[in-house]
Amino acid sequence: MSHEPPSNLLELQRFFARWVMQPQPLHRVAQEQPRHLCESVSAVVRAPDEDTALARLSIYHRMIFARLHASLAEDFPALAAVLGEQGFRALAAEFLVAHPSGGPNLRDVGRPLPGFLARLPRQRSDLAELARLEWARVHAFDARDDRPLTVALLHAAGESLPRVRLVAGTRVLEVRHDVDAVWAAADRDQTIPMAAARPGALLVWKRALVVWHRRLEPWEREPLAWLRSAASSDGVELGELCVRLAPDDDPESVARVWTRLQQWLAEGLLTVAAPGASV
Amino acid sequence: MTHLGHGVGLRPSHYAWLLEHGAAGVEWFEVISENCFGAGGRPWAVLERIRDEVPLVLHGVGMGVGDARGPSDAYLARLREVIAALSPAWVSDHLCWGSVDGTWTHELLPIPYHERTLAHVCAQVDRVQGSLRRRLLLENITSYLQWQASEMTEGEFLAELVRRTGCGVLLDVNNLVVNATNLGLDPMATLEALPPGSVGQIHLAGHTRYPDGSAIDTHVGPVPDAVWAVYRAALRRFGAVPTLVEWDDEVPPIDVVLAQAARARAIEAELLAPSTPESPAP
Repeated sequence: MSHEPPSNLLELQRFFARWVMQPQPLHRVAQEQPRHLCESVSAVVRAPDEDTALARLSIYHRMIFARLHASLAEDFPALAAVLGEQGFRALAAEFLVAHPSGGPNLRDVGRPLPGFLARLPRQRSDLAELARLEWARVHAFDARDDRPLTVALLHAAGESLPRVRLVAGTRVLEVRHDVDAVWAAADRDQTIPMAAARPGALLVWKRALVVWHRRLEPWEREPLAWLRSAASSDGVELGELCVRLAPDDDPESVARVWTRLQQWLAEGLLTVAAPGASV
Repeated sequence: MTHLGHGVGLRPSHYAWLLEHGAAGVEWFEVISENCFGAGGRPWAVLERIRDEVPLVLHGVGMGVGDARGPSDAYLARLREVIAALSPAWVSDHLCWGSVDGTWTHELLPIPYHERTLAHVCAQVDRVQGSLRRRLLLENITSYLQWQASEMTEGEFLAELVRRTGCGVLLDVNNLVVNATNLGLDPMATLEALPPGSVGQIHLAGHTRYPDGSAIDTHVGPVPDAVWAVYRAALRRFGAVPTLVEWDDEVPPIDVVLAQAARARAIEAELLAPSTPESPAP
């Protein structure tokens, strides 16, 4: 930490950030610093004495971390419930040092948290998966609100089948644990179980401003992967999607296609592709 | 500037109610600009629902006209898109800095008030007003410290900023009271420093007082008496000004917030009603 008094606005702001954008309480930092560094605070902050100058900086230190911590707790409520207050606070402090907020929108602060958790060597891998699920829910919530394609709209379209795509914000997450069960327990304020091994995939999407997630059924994997890879502005032919919903030659295939398509339509997963729109 | 009346801040806890009932009974809403930076979600659903019913104003917390690097082009570009979508009556932010070297603090931080900073902030305000093609209002902030380097008060700095750039002031009366509590600053001196006609909007809010005598700008609870007192003084100096009640913590039902706006309306009517000529003595 430099002890030179800042000579211009940029240096002053860097000086401030060096003191307040680290996780330790400032009085502890001050105890660990050489005397001249603490004296530099009262040379910059107007106060009757050094302790008061540090106390004034501490107000900002507490407010900044409280706000960032609250934002993370709001975006990752199940993770916070699993770790408990102290555990989540410690994780948030460690995370924010590694990933300070990089943009004006507080909403984006938690974006790197799932990756950060996955890279922590001592951390359980189920926690990174749970964080990934929660961030996918945030992503879906903030995504553009597409008007879902419904059976009624499809009937109204008559012979001209529309081009379709997944509603904005839809994500498929590969998981190795039943983090969906952990999330559900946290959401209902129930006792949170230890995550158990349960490989599979989770589908996350938004319908009518509410974010949903569920396990993928085996038949959905291929058509969903195709839809996502074809997530271009002009979408895919509904007829071609139907082919992929039941690709075998089973005589009951047509009925199965309609059942599966109806399920996706009822869930609000599909929207009519409009030129210029992207997922 | 149009006198929209007495509005309230649009807060997420009111979204469900507004989606169901609309904005009846609200004179105008102040919307946090950055809440609209996403592509969708509930904020946009609410705005779609109410934008034709009630005037909207945009109020940013992340522009950073006091950042050493100034507001980013990306920020201004997104703000322009939001302005185009919502057609706000005006746009405001804060006289502060908030980020350095790509790290955002998400706090409203004080700048040193002296000529070099003033020149820098004037250049940034000119840039913002040119980019947005509209006048910007800047809010006086709550400060928990003062810089040794400051050579003028915040009021003097704002007054000179207004004179040089043509921007306006969003006068936060609660912030004046909090700064008086924590730093011993005189709210009336700030009012006197600001030229008449410079104030385009007033903010009212509550704060939290602690046993050690300090105060934090929490925007919780009803507007305290000390804030109402300075509001009265501000109205006497600046005349009728669009006024908005902020309530950000332990947010009550919207009716309770609207009751605070109604109180501000009543005070304005009481202070600024045309005086009735006295009957001549018999």
